Amino acid sequence: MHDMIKAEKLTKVFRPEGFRLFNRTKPVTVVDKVSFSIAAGECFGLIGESGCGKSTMGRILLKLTEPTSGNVFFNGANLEDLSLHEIKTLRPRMQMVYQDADNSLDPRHSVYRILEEPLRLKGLQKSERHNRIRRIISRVNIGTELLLRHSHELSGGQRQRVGIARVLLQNPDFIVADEPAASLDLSVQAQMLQLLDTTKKTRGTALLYISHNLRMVRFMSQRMAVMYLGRFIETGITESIFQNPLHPYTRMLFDSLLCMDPRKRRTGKPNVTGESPDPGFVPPGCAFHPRCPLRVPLCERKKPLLRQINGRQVACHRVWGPASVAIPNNVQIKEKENLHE
Amino acid sequence: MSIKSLLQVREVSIEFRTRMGPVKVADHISFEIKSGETLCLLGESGCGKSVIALSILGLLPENTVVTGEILYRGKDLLSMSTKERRKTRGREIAMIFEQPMSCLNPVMKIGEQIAETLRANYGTGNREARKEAERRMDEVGIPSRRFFDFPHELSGGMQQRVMIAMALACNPNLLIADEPTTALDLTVQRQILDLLRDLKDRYGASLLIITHDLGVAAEMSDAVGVMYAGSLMEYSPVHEFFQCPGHPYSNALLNVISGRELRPIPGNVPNLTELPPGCPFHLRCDQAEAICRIKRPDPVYNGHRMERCHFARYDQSRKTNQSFQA
Repeated sequence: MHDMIKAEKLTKVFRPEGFRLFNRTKPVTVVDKVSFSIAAGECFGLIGESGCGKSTMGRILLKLTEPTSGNVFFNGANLEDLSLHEIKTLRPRMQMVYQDADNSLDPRHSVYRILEEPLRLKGLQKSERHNRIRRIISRVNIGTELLLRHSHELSGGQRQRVGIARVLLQNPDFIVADEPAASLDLSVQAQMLQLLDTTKKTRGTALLYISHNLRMVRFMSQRMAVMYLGRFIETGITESIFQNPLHPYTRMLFDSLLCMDPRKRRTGKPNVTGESPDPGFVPPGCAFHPRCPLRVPLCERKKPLLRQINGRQVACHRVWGPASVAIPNNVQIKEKENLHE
Repeated sequence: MSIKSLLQVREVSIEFRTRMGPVKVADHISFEIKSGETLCLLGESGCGKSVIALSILGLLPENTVVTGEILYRGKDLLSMSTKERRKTRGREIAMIFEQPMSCLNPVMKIGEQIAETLRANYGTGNREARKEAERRMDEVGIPSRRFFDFPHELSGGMQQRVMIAMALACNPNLLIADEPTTALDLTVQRQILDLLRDLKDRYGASLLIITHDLGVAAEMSDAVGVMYAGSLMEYSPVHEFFQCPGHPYSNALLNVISGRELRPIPGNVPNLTELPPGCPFHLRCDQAEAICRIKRPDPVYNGHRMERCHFARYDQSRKTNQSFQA
């Protein structure tokens, strides 16, 4: 299968706006040289704590935010090289499901009109528009009686369904789902995700699923990446990461996952430490080192790069080779050894 | 009444008087919390779980009608005078909210806010209150140099720690936590839950956690109450709940994420203003029969468990829920 979307060394730096004299904020790098690709019919899960740059990442892929450097290829075409007109014709093919359905629906328009708008822009006849909307609402389980309502008259789940229906109407090749169900109740959340999953399977859509819910990422994605302060720190096949997380941060994340079995309740000292990171103050060296249980002096100086380990990529000085959990603390690591730096 | 029972909620119904007529948000809810025990009220949004918490503290707005009894150490909170009620708040029963930022005073230093709780409740002197506040901050893991910080200078996790320090300042016997970790990141959530459990054990307080997260319930509680559309559907000890959920709704809820694939519950949570007759869950229930559409089920008791279902039976041979993958 070919790559539907490909990111090459994407970087995004937010610079403070306004008058310099009074503005002492430093530029903030929210995405730092990230490369990956998503094939048609594949779901790529992106996980990380708030502020790690995962949402910005999604927006860059859709060209809703311009990257500071790096390239995005959609179906082989570099988005940078395309004219504004060409981008506009591509837009329907790459769509986004927003986290906040309340704010992404026009409050003055009825559900019907919200759904109709993209079809009208396509230049479809009225009867054709009507037919398509008919078909889509039965697929996403919106009752006909809702079509004339406005967004404030809908429940959260219904609103999110309208948001998804609007995306699916355009038969996109690539969907970014940014926490599409985070604000919804569990029983309804699962409905939304199932809908996206079916679309992916039946239409061969590429899906970027951004979330901080580990369980849902496991259900949804085939490959995934863990992001920490703008960088991928571990990426690979979802199932293998879940079975054997290598990076100490990934392990910390899985440790903090609440087990659904009260018999397996954890007792004793917590092994999860530190605050969620602030992208304004990225520590030197490995960004994770202040919270890392395995850190050595090297981690404070050198940024670890992604290395191939066990069919997976991990960015950590302390993780080596397939069986390695970590090198014990008393072993000195010579910097020379770290060839990949 | 058993001596150990700290809080008993008996047949409590709560009704909002709105312009569109009365809306029943809680319907004959009964449960109890023993001292030192943690109870989790589980439920989806709008099921009435927060309203129950607010009714225990007496913080509901004017247009509500609460009937039934809420016995705290044998005394009915609902029939107390405003003055007596006020004395229970903070000293006996304290609460932690979901959004710490909206509960903290933005123009007051956090150390002072904790100290103020002591001054207001016990009339502690300034110096002593500050000293105690510092001790409390240390206890919840805030470095003492943060004493003079304003709430906006703290991260979400730290703000929630301040809330916990304030709630515990007067050594309450019952701590109510309304979605204490919903707004926090995964790793911070874990730390806050560990902290809550640790402090609860140290002071022997009881904990009432309101949550929609099954993981929080599995991790923290001794007993679980499941609410749906204003009714308490099930009340069970935590181990039995997770191994063999009684009510079809509990079962469906656990099933959503227990297997290899997602198994959503069809349909939507009903609107409280237009509740269907009969069992509130019958529209989404796969075991519903004619009687469920007509008659509201009565609670069925069996030992420590309660279930509100026409087909309730504590059959040991009932298919046990497979244990969850980590």
